[in-house]
Amino acid sequence: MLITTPIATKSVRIESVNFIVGTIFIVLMVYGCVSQALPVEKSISKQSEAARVNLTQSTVWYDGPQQRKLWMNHQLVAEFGGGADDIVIMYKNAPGSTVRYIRESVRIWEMSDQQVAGKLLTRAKSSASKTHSVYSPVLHETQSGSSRMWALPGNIIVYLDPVFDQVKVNQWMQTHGFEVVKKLEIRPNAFVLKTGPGMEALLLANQLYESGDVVAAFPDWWLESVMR
Amino acid sequence: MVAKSITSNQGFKFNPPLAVMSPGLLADKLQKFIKPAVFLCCLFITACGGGNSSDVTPPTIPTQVMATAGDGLITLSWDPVPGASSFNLYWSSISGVSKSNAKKITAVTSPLKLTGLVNATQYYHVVTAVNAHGESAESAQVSAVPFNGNGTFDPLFIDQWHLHNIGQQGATVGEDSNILPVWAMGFKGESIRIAVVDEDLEITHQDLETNVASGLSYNYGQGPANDPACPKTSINCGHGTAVAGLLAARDLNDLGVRGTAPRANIVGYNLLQSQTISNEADAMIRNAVDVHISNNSWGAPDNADLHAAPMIWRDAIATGLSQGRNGQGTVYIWASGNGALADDNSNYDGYANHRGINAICAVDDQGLHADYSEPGANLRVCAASRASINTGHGISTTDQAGDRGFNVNGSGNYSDTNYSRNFTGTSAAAPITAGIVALMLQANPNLGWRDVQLILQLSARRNDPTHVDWIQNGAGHWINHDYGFGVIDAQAAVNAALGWSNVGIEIEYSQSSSPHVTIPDNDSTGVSDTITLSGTTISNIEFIEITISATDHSFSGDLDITLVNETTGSISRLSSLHSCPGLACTPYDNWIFGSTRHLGESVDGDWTLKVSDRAAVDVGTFQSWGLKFYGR
Repeated sequence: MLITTPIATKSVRIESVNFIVGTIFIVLMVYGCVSQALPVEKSISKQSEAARVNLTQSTVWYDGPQQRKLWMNHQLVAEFGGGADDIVIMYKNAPGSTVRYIRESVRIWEMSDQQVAGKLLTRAKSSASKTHSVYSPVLHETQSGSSRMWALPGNIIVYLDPVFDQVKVNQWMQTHGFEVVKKLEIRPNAFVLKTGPGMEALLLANQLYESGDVVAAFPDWWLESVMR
Repeated sequence: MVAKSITSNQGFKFNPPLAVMSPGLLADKLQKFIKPAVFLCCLFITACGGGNSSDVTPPTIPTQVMATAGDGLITLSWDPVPGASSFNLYWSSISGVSKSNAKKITAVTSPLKLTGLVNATQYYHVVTAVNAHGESAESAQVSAVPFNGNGTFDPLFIDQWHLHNIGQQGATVGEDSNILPVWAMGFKGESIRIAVVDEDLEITHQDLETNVASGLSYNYGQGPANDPACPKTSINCGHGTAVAGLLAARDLNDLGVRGTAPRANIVGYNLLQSQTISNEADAMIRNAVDVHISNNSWGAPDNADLHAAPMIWRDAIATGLSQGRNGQGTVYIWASGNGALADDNSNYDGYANHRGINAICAVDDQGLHADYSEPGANLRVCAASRASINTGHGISTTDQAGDRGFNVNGSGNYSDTNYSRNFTGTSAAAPITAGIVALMLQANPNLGWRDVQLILQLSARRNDPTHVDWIQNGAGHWINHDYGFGVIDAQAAVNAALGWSNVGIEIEYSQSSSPHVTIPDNDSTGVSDTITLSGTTISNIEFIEITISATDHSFSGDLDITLVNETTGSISRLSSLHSCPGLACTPYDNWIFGSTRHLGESVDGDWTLKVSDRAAVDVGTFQSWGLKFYGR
């Protein structure tokens, strides 16, 4: 008896500990199941609207009848069609600039300050420019510079009246002085028309749509995309 | 020579001379040598009181059964089963092996080498465990294809758990696309063309070139017009080549991997190298008459903001649906998005939630939700991919040849850098699905694009059955915001395609309302508006577009938006509280959500849109909304 008592006591103690641990385990398991089963309450920490946006200048475009707003990012410049040599030119023209996004056809440059970006976009239009690239301002879907990027590599898309025959289409092109880059087989009389890059394309498309002379007119936007 | 041993818990050991031999000869030998041994063994155990005298049931089912092929042989292995005295093997060259319909070899042990097999033939196997009280049920079926090194094998196929999940690296057996039975039926995608719309396609890749349609790919970047390979100067490129391998890597060629449609025809359109909206439109309809399926493992940034699809893209999709595939409609497959951890929702993407698109979500090797895979009322079905973007059991596929692409030097990857085992994202789930659609279209070339959508939804397997979001809609279909209609099942889909009668002409019905009510700030009750419909002719909904405007709300991420069919009680959760990039959100301005979740329900009845603002600071108005039903 003397020998067995401590063992029995220890056994009881262990069972008690096991019971407590087991109970805690079960409670945690149940909590885990419940917390998984219930919708998670989320919260968003926000400042005032003025404090949390960094883009202030907006513009609009017409996606058919739907007017859409975009926000200008004066810190960024999109470069289209540039080769390796053009990177050197960019570094010379815009010291301190860095590449924020790159694909074969486009490089998005982040400028050290807004004035450099403005000068670059202006200089690119002049015939004295030595670069093969074309430049565009970068626009965003919201007032945040981290939202999706859009840019204007040149050209616009127009939908003419679908009942126009070829003669009328040709007349329209001649009257407006447009060169057809490509006919789009997505609806009757949809065309890509040649224009310069940048805001020129946007303003021209908006003018055309607002004139009521076309069914739709919009720039041939470049859009930021991701692989999934 | 392979020896095996049978050991009882008393230490009785018997080593029969089990040689490398054909299944038939093996069976004869086993009859002679093993049966008496097993009998003696069992007798010994029983006589000595071994085992659990109260256990009178057969052993449990063998697990982790694996089959590995070689030249004229297959090696099978499986885990030990407690209390089992021996194992039986059942095998056949026809899938669906059971005790009652296959050849039997008794008293085998793991590993077991079967020889004298015919190369390039798929053999199917199940294993049972035996003790004195009987035989267990059959294990999960495994299969393998013996090869002779002359074009009959794909050495990395064994790693492609998304095709044939036999428990590789702890995966859950059977959590795959159930595609082997379809290949065994003879459907491998012959005569079906799939466009890989991506950043590249290496048309000379050793495991793809046989299936590439010569001269029909298109390069939107610089260089040769028909070569969409990555630019030579490009560093991070090769996504499209990986996607293409999952679609249509050639089978039985002694090279690498297999696609789900290993005999389909592929073309590459490297849209992402020059992504203007006119190029987007072009890529959706290029050679559309001959393109059956368009795979798109790309999209707008997965950052939880609203990204509308431009009109020109929507017009291109409409053209592809009406004119593609000689008028039966190009089938568009789309990666649903990888932004779930950023609270993104596939329905915030105007491409992925379009009614002509099949948005494909991702599940891991356990059949569970991949943590990045976005939820959405617009989802069709899920397919396999990695559990997390950078961790978990990856997907094996083709990679840019040599030291480019995802596998540049074999580190943490295959030593053969023409392949990668770490592909990930809904980018992988989409082409797995697109390949299966190719098998469906081969089985039944008359299917229209709506028929394909319906078959995918109706034939999907309800995975992860304890997931809390599964409900049955008013027509009895199981639906889930994380999984759509479940995981794609190739065999079920192809069988459904074989017996399918095309649905009739699509009917549309629209109705709208303009409540113009203030949405109470930071109030979960919110506001709602109901549209009552009667006398419509749609008794079988296929898709709903829900348009909403709350243009004056300065932070659209605050809004929970839910559509309720009051007649059936089924809901579509369209948006929930989320942040936006840089804490600035695109407002709801005629935003169009999509829902697949009311499949088979009737239009007539009350439909309510509930809108609540779940966070403080920003306020706005529930201005207007509309419903557009598509169905029959």
